[in-house]
Amino acid sequence: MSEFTRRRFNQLVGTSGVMAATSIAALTILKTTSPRIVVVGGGFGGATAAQYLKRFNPSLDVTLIEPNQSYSTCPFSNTVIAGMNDISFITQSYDVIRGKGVNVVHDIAVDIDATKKQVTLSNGKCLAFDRCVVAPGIDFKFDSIEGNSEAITQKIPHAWKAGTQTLLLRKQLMAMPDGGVFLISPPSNPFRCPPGPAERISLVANYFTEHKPKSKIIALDPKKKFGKEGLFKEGWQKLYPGMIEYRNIDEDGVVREVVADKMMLVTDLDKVNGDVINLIPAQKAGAIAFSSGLTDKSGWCPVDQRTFESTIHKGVHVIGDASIASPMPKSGVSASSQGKVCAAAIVAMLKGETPNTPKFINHCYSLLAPDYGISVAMVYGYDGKNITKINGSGGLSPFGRDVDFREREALYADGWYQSITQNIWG
Amino acid sequence: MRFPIFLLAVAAILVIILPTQRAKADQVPAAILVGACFSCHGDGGKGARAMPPINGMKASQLEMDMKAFRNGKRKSTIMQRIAAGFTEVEIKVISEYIAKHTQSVKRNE
Repeated sequence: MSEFTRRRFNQLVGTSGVMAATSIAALTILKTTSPRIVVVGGGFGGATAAQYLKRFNPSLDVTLIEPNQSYSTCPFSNTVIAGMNDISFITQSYDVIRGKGVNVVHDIAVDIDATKKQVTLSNGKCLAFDRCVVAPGIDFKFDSIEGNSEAITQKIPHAWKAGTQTLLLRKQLMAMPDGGVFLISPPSNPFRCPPGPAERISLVANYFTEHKPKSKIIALDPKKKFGKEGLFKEGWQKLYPGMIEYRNIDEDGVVREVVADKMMLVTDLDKVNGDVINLIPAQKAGAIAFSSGLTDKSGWCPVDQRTFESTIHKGVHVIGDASIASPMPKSGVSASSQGKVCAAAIVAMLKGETPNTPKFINHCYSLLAPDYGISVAMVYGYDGKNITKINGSGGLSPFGRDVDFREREALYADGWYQSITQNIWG
Repeated sequence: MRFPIFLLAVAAILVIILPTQRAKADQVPAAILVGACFSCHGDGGKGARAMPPINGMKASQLEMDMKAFRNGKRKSTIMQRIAAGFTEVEIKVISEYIAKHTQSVKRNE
C-alpha cells in the first residue's frame, strides 16, 4: 500500500472505529436501561418467578441461575421410587423458559451481595442486578442426627431432593429381598412437603404388596402428628393392612443416631434395623441463603409477605421453601404461587408503584396407590401484614369416601402434575 | 392570586389520585387470581389428561360454575374447597379474564 492509501485507510478505520465504539456505547446504554433481574434457583419457585417476570414485563432482562441442566421434581418422585414411573416422568427441561426470553445459566451462585447488587457464580463471573429473587430450596441439618453426613446419603438416602437420590432409593428397594424391612424416618417441622413421607410409605407399600408381600415398613417419626394423617391411616387400613408400623414420638422417641455400618437407627427408646433406610433429616434454607446473610436464627429467610422481599436485605426477594411464609406449607405449589406474586410485586416496584395485595394458593395431591388419591388445598389472602388463610376455604379430602372418589382424585393428581409442570416449565 | 388556587388544584388532584392508587393496590390483580387457576388447570387453562380445561369458557358459565362449586350445589372432589377461597368480585374478575384472554374452544355449554 502507498503512504497515501495507508494514511487514508487508517483515517477510515479510525473513523469507523469511533463510529463503532459510539454505536456499541449507545447499544450498551440502551441495554442497561432494561432493569436486570437475577433469579437464583430454577425449581418450582425460581422457574415460575423467572418466566412470570417476562410475562408481566417482556422488556425486563431476566437471568435464571440453575446448576442442573434439567430439573427433577420432588412431586411425583415417590412414583419413581415405587417403580410406577420412569425418572423421565419427573424431568423438566428449561428449553421453553429459554424460549420465553429468560437467560438460563447452568452454574451455581456462590454469593449474593445485596449492597453491590451482584451475584457471583462458581466460575467467578459476576451478574449485576436491580432486583434478585432467591429460590434455593432446602438444605439438611446433618448434625441433628449423630453419625449423619452428606457422605452417608450415598448409603442411606434422603431422596428429599429429586434426581440421583430418587434413583438410588429405587435401586435399593428393588434389590431388597422379600421379607425385608424398609425403615423411614421423617423429619421434624418445618420441612419440605409435609405429606411426602406418608405418600412414600404408601407407594412403597404398594410396590411391596405386588412384588415383595412379606416385607414390612417401619416409620420412626419425631413428631406427634403428620400431614393428612387421618386420611393416610384410613387408606393404609384398607390397602395395606398389617404392613405399615408407624411409630411417632410417643411410641419410640426421636431418632438420635444413624449407624450406617449396621444399617440401624437409634432412637431414645430403641435400636431399629432396616434393609433399606430412608433417613430424611431436619431441614433449613438452601446454602446460598446462609452465605448471603438472608437467614435468621430459625435457619429460614424472613420476608415481607406482600412482596417476598427480604426483611434483612432490601432488593433481594426470597421465595419457596427457604422463605418464612407460614401459614403456607413448604411445597412446590406454594413456591410457584409465591413466584407469581413476587414477580408481580417486582414489576410494580420497578415502576415505582405500590405492589398489589397478593393472593396465594396451595393444593397438594398424595397418592396412596395408583388409583387412590387424596388432596389438601388452601387459599390465602393478606391482611396488610401477614399471609392468612381465607376462612371457609381449603381443607382435606373427606373421610369415608368410596373407591370412585379416591380414583377420581388419583386421576386429578396426574392431571394436576401435568398442568402445573406445564404452567411452570412449559 | 393564582398561586394558592394552583396549590388547591394540585391538592385536589392528589386527593383523587392517591386513594385511587391505594384502592388499585388493594385489589388482587386479575393475572394473580388467574395464576391460581392455571396452577391446576395448566397454562392458559388448557387442562391436561384428567384435569379439565377451562380455556375459552363464557364468563357467565364460569361464574355460575364457580358459585355452584362454592355453595356445594355442584359436587366436587376439591373445587368446593378452592372456590370458597374467592369472593364474588374475584370470581367475576377471573371469569372475565378467562373468557377474554384464553383461547376459545368449541364447546357444548
